[in-house]
Amino acid sequence: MNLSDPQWYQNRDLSWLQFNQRVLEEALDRTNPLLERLKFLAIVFSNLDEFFMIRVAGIKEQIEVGFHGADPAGMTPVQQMERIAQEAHRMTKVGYSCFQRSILPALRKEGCVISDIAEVPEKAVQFLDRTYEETVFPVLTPMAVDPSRPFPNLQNRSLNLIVSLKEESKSMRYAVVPVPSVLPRLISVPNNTCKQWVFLEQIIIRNIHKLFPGYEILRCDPFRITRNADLDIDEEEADDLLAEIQRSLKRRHWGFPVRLEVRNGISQSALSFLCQSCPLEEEDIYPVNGPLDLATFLKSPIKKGFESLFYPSALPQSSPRFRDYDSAFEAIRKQDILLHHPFESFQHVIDLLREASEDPNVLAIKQTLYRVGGDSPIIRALIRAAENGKQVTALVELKARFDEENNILWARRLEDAGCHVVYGLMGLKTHCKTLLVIRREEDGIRRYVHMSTGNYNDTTAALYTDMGYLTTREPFGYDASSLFNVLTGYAQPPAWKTIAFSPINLRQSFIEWIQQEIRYAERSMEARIIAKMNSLVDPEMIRALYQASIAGVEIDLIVRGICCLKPGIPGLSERIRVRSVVGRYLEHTRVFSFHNGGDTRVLLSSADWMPRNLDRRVEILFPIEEQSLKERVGAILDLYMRDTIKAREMQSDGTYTRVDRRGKPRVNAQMELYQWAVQSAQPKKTQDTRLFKVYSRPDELDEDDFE
Amino acid sequence: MSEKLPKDRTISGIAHIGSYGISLRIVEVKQNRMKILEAPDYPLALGKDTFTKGKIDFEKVDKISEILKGFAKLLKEYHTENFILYATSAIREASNKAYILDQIRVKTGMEIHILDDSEEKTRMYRKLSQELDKDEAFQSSDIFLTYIGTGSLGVVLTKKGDFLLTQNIHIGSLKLAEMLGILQQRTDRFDVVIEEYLNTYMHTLQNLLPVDPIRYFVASGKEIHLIMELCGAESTSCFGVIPKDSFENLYSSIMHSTPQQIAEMYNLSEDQAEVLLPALSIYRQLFLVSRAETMLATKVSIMDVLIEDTLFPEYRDNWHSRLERNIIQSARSVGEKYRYDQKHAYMVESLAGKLFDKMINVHGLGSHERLLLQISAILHDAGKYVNVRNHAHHSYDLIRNTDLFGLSALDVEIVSNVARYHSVEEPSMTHPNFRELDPHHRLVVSKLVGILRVADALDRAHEHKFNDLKVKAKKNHVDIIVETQYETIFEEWIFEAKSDFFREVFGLKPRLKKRLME
Repeated sequence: MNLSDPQWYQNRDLSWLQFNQRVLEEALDRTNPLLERLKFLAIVFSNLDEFFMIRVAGIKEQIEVGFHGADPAGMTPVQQMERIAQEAHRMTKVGYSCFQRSILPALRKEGCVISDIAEVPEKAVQFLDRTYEETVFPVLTPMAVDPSRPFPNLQNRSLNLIVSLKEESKSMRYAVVPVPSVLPRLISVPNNTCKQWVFLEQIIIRNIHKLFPGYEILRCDPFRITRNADLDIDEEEADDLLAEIQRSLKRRHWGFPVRLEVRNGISQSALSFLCQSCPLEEEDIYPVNGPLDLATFLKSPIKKGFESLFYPSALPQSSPRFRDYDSAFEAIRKQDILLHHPFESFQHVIDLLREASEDPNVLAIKQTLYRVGGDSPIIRALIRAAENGKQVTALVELKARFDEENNILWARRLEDAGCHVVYGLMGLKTHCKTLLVIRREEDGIRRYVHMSTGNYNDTTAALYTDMGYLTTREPFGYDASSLFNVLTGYAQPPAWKTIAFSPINLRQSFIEWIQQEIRYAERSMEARIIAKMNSLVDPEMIRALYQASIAGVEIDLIVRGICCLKPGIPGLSERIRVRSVVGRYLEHTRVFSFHNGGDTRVLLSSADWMPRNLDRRVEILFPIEEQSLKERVGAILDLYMRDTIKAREMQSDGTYTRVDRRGKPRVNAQMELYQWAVQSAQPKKTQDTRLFKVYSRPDELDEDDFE
Repeated sequence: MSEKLPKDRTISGIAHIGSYGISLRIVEVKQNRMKILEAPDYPLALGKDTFTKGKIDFEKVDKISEILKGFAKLLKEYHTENFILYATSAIREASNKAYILDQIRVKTGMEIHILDDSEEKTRMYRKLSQELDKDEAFQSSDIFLTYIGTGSLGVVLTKKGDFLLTQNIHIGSLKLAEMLGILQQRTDRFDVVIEEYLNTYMHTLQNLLPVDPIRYFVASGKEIHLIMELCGAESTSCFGVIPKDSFENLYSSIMHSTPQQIAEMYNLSEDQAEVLLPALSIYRQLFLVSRAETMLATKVSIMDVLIEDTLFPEYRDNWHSRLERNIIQSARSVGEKYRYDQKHAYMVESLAGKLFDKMINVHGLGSHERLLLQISAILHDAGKYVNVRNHAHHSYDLIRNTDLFGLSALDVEIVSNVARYHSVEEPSMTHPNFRELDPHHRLVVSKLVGILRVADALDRAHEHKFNDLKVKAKKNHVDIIVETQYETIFEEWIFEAKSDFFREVFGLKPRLKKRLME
């Protein structure tokens, strides 16, 4: 059988859209709290934005340059674009219908009214007009469009108004008014009976005539342009990567347009005028039934008074392994520690860093920073450490998509504080997540290592499921040191003692272990692979899995996002099962388990099985050594495989269906894991009085899905 | 803020600039146990520059500084107490060596300690014999030790820790690859070219080897690590057996291949592939010449040796007396080669030694200088092999151009200078060979010459008339009291003439006092 036959592969972008569909289903799911449903909906649209900016832009570029090559699933760029547009239009439609017909009415019942300005009582309208005069008008910049003033270059993802004007007896002309992004999108309306909000653009539209005295306003329609935002950086030529990225960040605002969103019922003339101004195909125009840019609800002001419409709070718990120790160092020295976020608190990692920054015996701290988030306690601790005279090395990945600007800022601050900041290896993004603390102790130098599947970002650590492994085992310390020597340019990759390193031998290690399972299967021994990751795209890995299935290896894949493998095809993948869990927390752990003839190999990684992770990024794969922790990870994987609430099973045609619950207990893996964490955190003797920070504002989904 | 380490614990850094790259080891030592904390290796083809162009490109010198600066950061992280930076053939043989040292000093503040060829080999031999000693199987056997560097190779025949024979040959794996590389495009039998080239050296070596077959052949050097791997050789201890047939198989499978093909066959970098055939040929030729039964290879690298020497100098000290014995033995075998008057040499060696020992307070020299004096005494008349007239000159030339085992280039320079001035001429700044020494070593030469001339005078007739002597240093003179039963007018006359220089150097007039034996 030809394992590379396109019919055995799913197109990755269509598979991604399937994932976004699963998020959309969470928005549609009436068992979810109402404002969480709204948040899921916002995530769907925010995801789509990024999908268009990166993936669709890329396919359009391929079409533009006349590339006709087929993807592993045998689709040409033109064919892909056609299917993507079809699916994106459908999804947009369903999303808006959910918003208008389900969420808005339900909110209204709860006394939360997001309404048209027409519904606002007269007195309150006067208030809104005053708001316009006092705060909106001063920041408006209307731009007339005529032969001497061409269509303005509007910023990516910005909301704008196109105004059709008529001066007495002259022909119609147009003006563009950007809706100021500095102002909140939802404006609270004074109302005694309920909480009411209107959209900012409606206040502007109501007062638009004041901007164009002497003109008759024929129409005023909102629109939104999404552009190509894939940074094109020439690293070889860039002497100063920092400066080069800053330059290209500016370009991101002005990439070629890939999508135009307008409201249903926009005037035909305004629409054709827009289409003339930004060259787009008809399929790229998305007329929507409702307010533009629903991603705006990621930063929703609707919170106070509606707490019952959110998930009940679930504070990250402290890990029992830290409980009996005053010092994080002491705890880690005694035993390996596995932290499963967000069920267990990321605060432990921050505590370790803080302690390290103040501890007189700590000589050096080295850390990779990919997405650190705003006002990060991690950065503060590193700065403190540098001020305390420690050697601090920070690998800041400037090319972390959509975080470039943020990272440049932190890089500068760290440098100013005296940290040794490096930017990684040319042509490779540094995606591995490692922290190394070198400490001088009674019996010699000891290295504390933290390796993780997720970023050093305290915000996302409360929303993404990730695993971090803390250990002082010598081979880990040695490898971590060597890893930083490679990243700082002091050395080329050595022979690793325990980790595998992408792009050198990570792919190879996986392939070898899969082949090992195949050999066990061929000898009729138990052979089994469980792999949990965010995306499975890499054709070589998929081929290896098909081979394994054919040879008799039992394979369970827990793939949250894209999956280009097709499970359950007789003679090819009948022993492969694929499921996806989409729930309250974004699944982000990359966990791999190989039965290995009974001596189970359990590994964690920063890498997905995607070509970019295996070939173009610095990633690591590391084993869990301690038996009890191996068992714990095994139990966690098992729990995900028993989930009947948030899991969907992939069918051999690439679609997903909910798990058939008949005869099975109701299991929500994420909730169970949280209960485990709560139970293990129960103090045995003394009360743990530590306070953990609450994260109130959920962030977007993992942007990595779009790279 | 930092607390002091307990006394029994140190952290040291050892770096090495080699032909293929720069390496650093940060090592923690506690209670005589060492732990390697950091081991960055940065590949950089420096040997290639040196052996093709004669010097290292300045871009690469820049790169060296950059890497060393990175290493300095790492050293700082561990609060490393001591650091030493070594360099071997790539820098040693580069014509712009002085500039390189200076640029690196200016840019990084680091001083490079260049190991000269003989020092590099001696250290390697030291480590290998020490390891061989640990295994009883090796203790009573003849062992043929080889060390192939990138620029030169050395062989030693050893038994029970004694070096029966040492020989240096100035070809190395990389040097050979670069030298003959051009020919490779002109022939598809490159292996034959290498073999023929090596033959000239092998003939010489063959004549020196004993008739009886040797038991073990031990291969060391960078390339043998790769060869071991490709031959699937297993090593449980320091040494692993390379089966003859897999060695021959490897040789025959690459002998007709280009470096590109070799790189593909074994998934090697081109730099590795390029030296594989030359290195394999050299080991093979040496193995054939030795007629040894078993081929052993060792994974000990020069870096391992440098680490041990730096961290555990006592190992070296323990070995020191054995080393000296072997150095003297090697000097004697050189003497034999030049048909020296063994008895006279022995007499002068003994007399000079006694003078040296009794005058410690006067000359203030140490044991190493004593060793140099001994060797000068052994070889001072070697030049007579060429011609009796002007023989001191010939001694100088012969010694300078002989590979004296265990002596550094500077040592050899001192010994040959001392030999040159043992007879008629006295050290003079008009002689370039003397002038080129630094002031300290000029003084060493002069002092040793002073002693050697007196010792030589006492056995001038080569009749070995003095059995014992006593030395008494007074305020203005030194009494040398000899016991003899012979007539010594000739010696006394010569002594008068030869003692002027002694007085000039030491400010003391030597007086020969004779005591008749009962």
